[in-house]
Amino acid sequence: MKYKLSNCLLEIDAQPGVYSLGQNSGTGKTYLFNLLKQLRSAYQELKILVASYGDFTEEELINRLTSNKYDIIMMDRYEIWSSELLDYFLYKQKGDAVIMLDVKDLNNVILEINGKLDIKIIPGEVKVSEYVDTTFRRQACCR
Amino acid sequence: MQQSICLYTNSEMVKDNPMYVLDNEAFFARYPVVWDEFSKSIISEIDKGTYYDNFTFKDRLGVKLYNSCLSTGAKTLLNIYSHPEYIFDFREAGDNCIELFLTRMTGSIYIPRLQESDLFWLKGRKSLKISLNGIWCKDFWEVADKV
Repeated sequence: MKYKLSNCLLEIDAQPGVYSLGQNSGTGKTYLFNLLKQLRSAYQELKILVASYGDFTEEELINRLTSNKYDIIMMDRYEIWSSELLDYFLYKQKGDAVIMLDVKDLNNVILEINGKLDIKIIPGEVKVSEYVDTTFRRQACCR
Repeated sequence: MQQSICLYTNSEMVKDNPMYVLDNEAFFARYPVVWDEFSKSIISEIDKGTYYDNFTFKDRLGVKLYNSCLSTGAKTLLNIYSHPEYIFDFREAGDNCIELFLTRMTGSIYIPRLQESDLFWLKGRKSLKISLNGIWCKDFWEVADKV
């Protein structure tokens, strides 16, 4: 999926499922979060849910997740506000949406993570694509 | 004064402590950063950007941005460096931040995902006092045993 914004081209190359955005800081997760907010305003036909710590109450988010089917979901800073209940309602969206979680410790979520997404930022373009990495696989197998 | 690192892996040890900071973004927005060569290096090492002035930095593409656009991990490290009296939640900070903190910094953090392998970053640091969940350990090996 490629989306054209006035300041950049955003490409999300991933099948619906649940993805982590990697274990390092400074890779562009919050930048991507803000781009998705722009995308939501620019393309209102796209169903996008982006949330960070303090944006919604758990009840508000669950209401949104139960009454809509989303194309893209991103939970920024999910580490400090995740809950088993939210994980459950996110899981129910995994057949339709690319669900991106900013979570460093995969043991903190009960969701089965399908893979890891890599964010590549170059001038005028942001590309989010699946990334196969042996460290991630090892961690997932150990769970 | 001897340098020290206080690590907390048990949430019971920090959750009621008035010095515990859960929301690093909010703390960063409210309290000033001490800018010196080390704090400037946090921007370059974690966000691959460069310090510009006390309010702005240049990102990896050379775009000038407000410091509010720094990554949460970089903000967490800057909070720890500038306000060592607090205990900062380190769950949001990435593996690269754990490495930088344990190899070159001091302070107090809550880090439930701490693993024995992370502690190897501490190995080269002589005369550093380390406590784990409020108990001072006599050396690196004692900390590793308790994790």
